Amino acid sequence: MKAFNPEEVKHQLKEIIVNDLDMSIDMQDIDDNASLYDDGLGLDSIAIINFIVLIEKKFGISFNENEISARLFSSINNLADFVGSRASVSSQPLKSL
Amino acid sequence: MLIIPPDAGARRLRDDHAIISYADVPQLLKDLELFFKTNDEQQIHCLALTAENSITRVLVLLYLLSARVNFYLQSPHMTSGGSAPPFCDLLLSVGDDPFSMGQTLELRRNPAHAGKGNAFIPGNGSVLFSSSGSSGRPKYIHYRQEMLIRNAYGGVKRFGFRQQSRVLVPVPVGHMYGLGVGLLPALLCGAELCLIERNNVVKFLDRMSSFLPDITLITPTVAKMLLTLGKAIPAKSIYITAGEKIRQDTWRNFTSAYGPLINLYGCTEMGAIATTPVDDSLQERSEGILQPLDEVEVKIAGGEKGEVLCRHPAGFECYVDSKGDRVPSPAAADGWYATRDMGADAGDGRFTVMGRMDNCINRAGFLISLDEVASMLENMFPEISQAVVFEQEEENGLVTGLTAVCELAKGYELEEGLARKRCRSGMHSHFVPDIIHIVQDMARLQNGKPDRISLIDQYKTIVKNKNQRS
Repeated sequence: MKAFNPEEVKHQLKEIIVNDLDMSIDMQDIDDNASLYDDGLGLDSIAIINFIVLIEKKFGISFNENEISARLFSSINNLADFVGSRASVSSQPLKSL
Repeated sequence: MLIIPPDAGARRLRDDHAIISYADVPQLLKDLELFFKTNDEQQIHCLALTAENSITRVLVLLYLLSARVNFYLQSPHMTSGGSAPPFCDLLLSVGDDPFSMGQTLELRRNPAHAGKGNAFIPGNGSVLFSSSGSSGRPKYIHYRQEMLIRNAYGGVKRFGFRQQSRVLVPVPVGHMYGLGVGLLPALLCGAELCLIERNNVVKFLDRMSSFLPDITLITPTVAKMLLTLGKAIPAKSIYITAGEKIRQDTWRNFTSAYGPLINLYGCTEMGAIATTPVDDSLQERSEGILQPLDEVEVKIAGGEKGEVLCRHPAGFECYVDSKGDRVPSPAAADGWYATRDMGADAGDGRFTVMGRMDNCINRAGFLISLDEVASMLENMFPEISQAVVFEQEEENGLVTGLTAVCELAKGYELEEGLARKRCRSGMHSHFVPDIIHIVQDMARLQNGKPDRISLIDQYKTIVKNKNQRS
């Protein structure tokens, strides 16, 4: 089982945001504590859905319906903690998109 | 006029910031009463209230209704300029904590206030909304407060709101959909209520799992997003949607995955007019057959197919302009309000709506709704995710041609000639587009809706040979 380094997960999440969600932002400008919504990165609903789908694909995990919470998506840190723990359990290699 | 039932007691109201019980409401309203009395409530002509989905705004709304103070519900998106229409003399702002409202309430003069003048708006008991009209001249919709409440009772009855209900309102309460079908019916029954401010799909799923509503308002966009995401939802709810048309396959898939999806038909002027069946009539629901609410009359101008006319016992009173002067309304005659929607009689007092009258054309003597043709294409072709249909003059200027721009669904292919062939075999000839453009992505506005004007500019060509239509 591969245990993911939290920094590696954060990096991967930021890569998705910058490269796949077409956000006009540089990776280094994404604050780990900033919200992903209006008051932070400003992802709208469509972007968030794409983000969830891409995370599931890339990390080989699946969010349960009760895991998709406002708290989880309130920062890259929270999301990375969760994705890291789930991805470790699922032990699938990272997929390139 | 305190509209909440006295026995609601421990039932709760919540938003993104706070939870209160109905038992807390009387004391919180007393705090508001003190504030308004201190600020000379009698002198208020019309107050502008930013209608955010928060408990504090709901409390203010309840107070204004109980004290019969005139107010204008201002959309949060329209407050960036800091002013309200000139008929408002005061602007009210309030924080998010219901238990410390006294410290956050602030009344300011509206810099744009024009004075009372000959304003139509009476001294009390009025509610005003912005009109969604696009005439260029701002127009506002004036309701008597008691009519607004009566209007909401129609929703209570149709959707079976009761004190045991758990109502999720993620749509703006500053519009009649969120206010008249979600917020007010829930308050009238003392139901558990959960408001979401600036909804997104994550917040929505979060509240569906934690609040477990049994009555949920949902926009067609969020409904489609849920299907895209494909996550199960633990709540057993009915879903009330309004706005853009939903394809029949989306309807069926949503119903099968999540529960009954009821379409509400209405407008700010009339409030809720009709809904698709709330019982088990799945077929009729997916076909969009609408049943007027109790006491609401609907008729189709011209009999079978034409403009939808509505007579509502609790509709708006009149339009006013930005100074509060009454604006004559050619749309309402003999008590029948002309909705500007095109519909068809479905028998037994029921009807269907095809689209806006503005999007209707006369084609060889037949009144055709362009929205209806688009809807037919979307329902007939799984390959098409969305269609936009517009008219164009043929070279002789006599016969109206139709062009359809169709966006391909992911993973599908469709050839234009084949699409027309299938249209000819499956549609009445008057509906068959002369030209079909199949595109991977169509131009869209920021809100995600197709950019009709760009599409027309891009694809408008003269139909050179009317024999193309066979």
